[in-house]
Amino acid sequence: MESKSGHEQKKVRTSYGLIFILLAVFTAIEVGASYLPASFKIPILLLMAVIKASLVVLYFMHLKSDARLYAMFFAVGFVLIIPIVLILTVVMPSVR
Amino acid sequence: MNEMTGTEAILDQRENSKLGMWIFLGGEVVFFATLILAFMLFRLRDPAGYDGFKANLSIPIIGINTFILIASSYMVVRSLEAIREGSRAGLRNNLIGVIVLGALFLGGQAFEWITLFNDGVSVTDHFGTPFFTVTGIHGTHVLVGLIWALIVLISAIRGAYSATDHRGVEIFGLYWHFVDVVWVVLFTFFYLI
Repeated sequence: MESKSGHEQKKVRTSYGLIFILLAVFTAIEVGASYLPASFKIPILLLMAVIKASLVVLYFMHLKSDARLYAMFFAVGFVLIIPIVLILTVVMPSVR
Repeated sequence: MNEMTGTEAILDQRENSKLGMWIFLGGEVVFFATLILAFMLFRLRDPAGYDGFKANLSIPIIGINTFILIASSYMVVRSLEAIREGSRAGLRNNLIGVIVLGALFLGGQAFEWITLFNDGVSVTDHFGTPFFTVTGIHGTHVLVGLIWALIVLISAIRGAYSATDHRGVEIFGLYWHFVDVVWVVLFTFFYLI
């Protein structure tokens, strides 16, 4: 059982609040960036999406501090995407 | 010795339920990635056609909807922290917030769909099919999450959770945050890019 001191609890709450603010600010930046030309906006938006998703997974879902075993099983999903990409783009020429 | 083994077995079982949720979420990654990838291939084959479809989408409204879902995720971590600190009232209040925000998100999505239908967009259109399929499946996940949140709330009101026993809240939280992550990706690929 994890027992935290009052100071630690306050620190945890502050970090969650900070992450929430970051996610909100990044969302506002994304909406603004979506009106830029494609060559500018695509790298910005992809980077923002990766940062936002990582913040939620690592901190809100506690993957950063939890057992590595959870991350391993979650990562299997990402590994399985690779053959799907290959099937859709290489093996099935009709969808290229 | 026997007593210790029994305690260890209970703890293992609790950890197993969390591991089970992570395995399920790994499967969900494959499921949503396949849908998004198929959609992107549609787009790449007809970029001009998608630009025409995208003109019907309201980015500011969906931006607000995205903020609502992010705020609901924040309330989920607050609810978990509350019960970890032994605050049942904090858990209850934050879960009510999650349910309200989740319902608002679904309301926003319903408003978007109705607006699109009124503008003549159909589920049988070239881009209407993947759009309504993927956003509909995500919306169904949110609905399932809402029902789950309601069950967790009722359990919390009945005193099911405490500072030492809150696994049910944690597992629900994992699901809800994942649905949030999926939306972050959908928002980027369907609306912004």
